[in-house]
Amino acid sequence: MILVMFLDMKNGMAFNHRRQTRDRAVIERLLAKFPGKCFWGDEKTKTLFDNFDQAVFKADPDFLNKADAGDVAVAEFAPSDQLTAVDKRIEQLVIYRWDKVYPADLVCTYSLVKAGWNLTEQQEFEGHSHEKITEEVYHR
Amino acid sequence: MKQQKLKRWRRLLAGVILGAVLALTGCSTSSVKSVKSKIKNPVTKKTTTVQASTASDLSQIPAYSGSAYVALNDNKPNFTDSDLTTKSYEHYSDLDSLGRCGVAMACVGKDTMPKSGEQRGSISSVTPTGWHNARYDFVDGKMVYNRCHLIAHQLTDENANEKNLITGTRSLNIDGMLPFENMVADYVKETGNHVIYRVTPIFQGSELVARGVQMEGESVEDKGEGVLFNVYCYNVEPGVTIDYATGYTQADGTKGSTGSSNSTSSGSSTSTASSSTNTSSQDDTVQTYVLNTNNHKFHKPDCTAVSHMADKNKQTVNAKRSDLISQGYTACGICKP
Repeated sequence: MILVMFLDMKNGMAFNHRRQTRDRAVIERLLAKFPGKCFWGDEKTKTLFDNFDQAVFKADPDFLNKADAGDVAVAEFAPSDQLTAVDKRIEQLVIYRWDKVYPADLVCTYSLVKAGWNLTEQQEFEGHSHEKITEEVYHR
Repeated sequence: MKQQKLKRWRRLLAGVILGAVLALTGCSTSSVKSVKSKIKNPVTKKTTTVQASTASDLSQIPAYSGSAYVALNDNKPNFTDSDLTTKSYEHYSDLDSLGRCGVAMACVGKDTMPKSGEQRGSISSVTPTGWHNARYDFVDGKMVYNRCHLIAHQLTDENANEKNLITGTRSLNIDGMLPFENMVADYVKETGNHVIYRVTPIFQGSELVARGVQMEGESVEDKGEGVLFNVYCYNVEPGVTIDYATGYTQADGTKGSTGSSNSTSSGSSTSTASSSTNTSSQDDTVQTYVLNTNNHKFHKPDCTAVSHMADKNKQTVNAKRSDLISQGYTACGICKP
């Protein structure tokens, strides 16, 4: 599976069970980057895709295990130990990096270094409500 | 011009309404409700049940232990149903007899925020209580004190409003308050919804410098689904001891001893305030590094050592410097990342 995460400048993911921030331009970009792919996530993440008719999104609490090879799993609220548990099944990692620091009580501690990820592409783009978002693509 | 008049009118009306509400609820700087609350360390996720925050109740707030903020009351703010309006307004309390700020509250909407590209005006004409210019080399930005907006410029377009500026440390400003300001501002920009937002400076007795601020926020249209928080941010600076009664500071020796005299001048050129920029320390913000997986050194991408590195040993990541060090990597002596 292709794993997608949204992280701030301190690797923050969420605060008080809520996403730190959102930008519809990220979803547009994801759908353009992975056309025709099946997207997976939890019920909360599904709401990000609700206004995009072309998106095929499957919500499941166990989405990290159910996503097949080639599927895109959007892990907004997944604790890092869950990511480590499926590490071997991750074919590609895409991080959308907010150019700010937001409050965080859920922080990504999944180690890109230990997992052997290598930053192969990095592109900045302007979002709908964020001046700068960076798309980081990692391969092993 | 029309917009400014409208804004003034809104403020006046909101002031009257909020004044009445505050009078009825007894809410003021010194009377944040005392309730059983859970205080949660946001990074380590340790949870402790304690009494919550009032000015006389600071003993119930855990001592600062490295996290810039702690959650109060399981992050549930103390707003009443009538607070949760979708009509934008701002209210700033009058200064008290010591010249200190009180509660600042707003319904933040796109219409209260500065226009795109609008820069913040000068705020150096305001000298909040306890203000001193104190410089330490180990403090990010050098100056230990910032003129801290209670409600950030990015939320309500306020500049040199003495009812909205307190003496706050760099850490309070950047690590404590700014992340919440960013979250609210970007939520409002993305959704067009409103956020009820309240910042209460917590002074102990007659001290001139606040011990911290309580920040509360709740998104209105989606009933807190997007934004919901109630936190206490510490007005502290690692490595610096603050005399909260006067505002005088001195290095405590844990970070270094380089400091300057504490002067009370307005410090127009060096003071900064809450802003939307990100200037957290290099150690714990993500940057691009190139690792040598063979000798466990990490480098800046443009380091000369990178061009001599064998591809099989090269790994590029966006990571926090502190995380690399904790994973056994050491900084290159040439590029000093």
